[in-house]
Amino acid sequence: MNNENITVEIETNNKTKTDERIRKYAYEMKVEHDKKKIEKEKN
Amino acid sequence: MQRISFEEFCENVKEDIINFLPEDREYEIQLTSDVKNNDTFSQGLTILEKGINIAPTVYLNSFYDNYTEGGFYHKILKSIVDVYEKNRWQESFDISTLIDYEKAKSQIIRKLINFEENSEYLKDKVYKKVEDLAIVYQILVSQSENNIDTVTITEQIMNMYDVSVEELDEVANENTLTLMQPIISSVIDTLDGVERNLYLEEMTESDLRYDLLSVPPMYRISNVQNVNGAAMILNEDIQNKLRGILNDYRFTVIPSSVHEMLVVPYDESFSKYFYNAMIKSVNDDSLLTEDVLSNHAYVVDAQNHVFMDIERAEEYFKELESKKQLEEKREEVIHEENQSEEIAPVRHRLPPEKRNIKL
Repeated sequence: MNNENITVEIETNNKTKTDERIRKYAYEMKVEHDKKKIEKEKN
Repeated sequence: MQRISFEEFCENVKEDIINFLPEDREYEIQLTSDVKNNDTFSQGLTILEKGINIAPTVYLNSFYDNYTEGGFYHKILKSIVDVYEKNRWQESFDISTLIDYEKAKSQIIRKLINFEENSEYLKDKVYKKVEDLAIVYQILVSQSENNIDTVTITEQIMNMYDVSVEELDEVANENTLTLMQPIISSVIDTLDGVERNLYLEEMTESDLRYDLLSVPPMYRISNVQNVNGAAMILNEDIQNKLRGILNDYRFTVIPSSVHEMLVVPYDESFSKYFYNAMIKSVNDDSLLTEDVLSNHAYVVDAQNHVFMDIERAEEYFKELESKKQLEEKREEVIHEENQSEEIAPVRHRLPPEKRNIKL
């Protein structure tokens, strides 16, 4: 390795995509929560 | 307009990029093929400056996507040069800071990836398995607002370190917390764009009431750059902080990507089938293959610092509960014995052969 050049990886992330994922998870969790609440009320 | 293949695009970029680089330096331009996370293949462009031994690799896949979507070729070349200029080194790098463990150890951090999906990538890497995931180790070379520059520790580098993986992991665990600035934020805040870092700030009662508006409350765990931040969840300090915020030592973890984890309260009425179907669907629709961490949820016991597949969580907590009950019973028996000793000390102190003698 002493005689080699070093290659460094530049790591990034896309904020818009992250927000899109989080929004989907938040929505799905809320839908499931509401579903369970309705089921509970019926019973 | 006729669009060329990815291979042709890379070759053309390699030939043409020289016309967009400053003329006062000499360069050696190479195309490199790398196996990236989840065994995805990436074609990179390395622009080596004469007399400097370190160079960033700019991956061309996303630039090609831009090109196929109608981006102008010369503008794309200019963007590649912009990335290179932002990340280039102006002087040679002291290689001993990578291969000498004593020099490197303060910069070693953790990255969490999927184990099975990285069989090719992991072949020459040092790693530690955690459930069906693997922790790999990286040397943090530099970091800025939106990215981190790293060198992943290979078997070749590890052979020069002469330390165990356990020791490497311990050092990396501490550094991940101190070098990468952890972030715990309410998802409501994240989506509102007014994010507060609950790792650094204390939660007030009104904060908690506000978070409860999101049903159920959900928190994002990552680092300030939101790059490779999923590994934060394995840190005991982070788990303790989440335990305080959620007021429970158990919580469910959604592996949103290699960059971040989402945490919700542990609730048995939310089945593992629901979580796993939801995660698979979001992974398929809203995540690049190279950023996928896992297709199922995990659960954390922050009391004992156990990170587990949601599949075995129910059984784990049942066992934990029966152990607790057994311990309580044992304590009760000891307590009763102590009490009876106090009541009839003489009888107990008699030798066994005399205990049945009527006094």
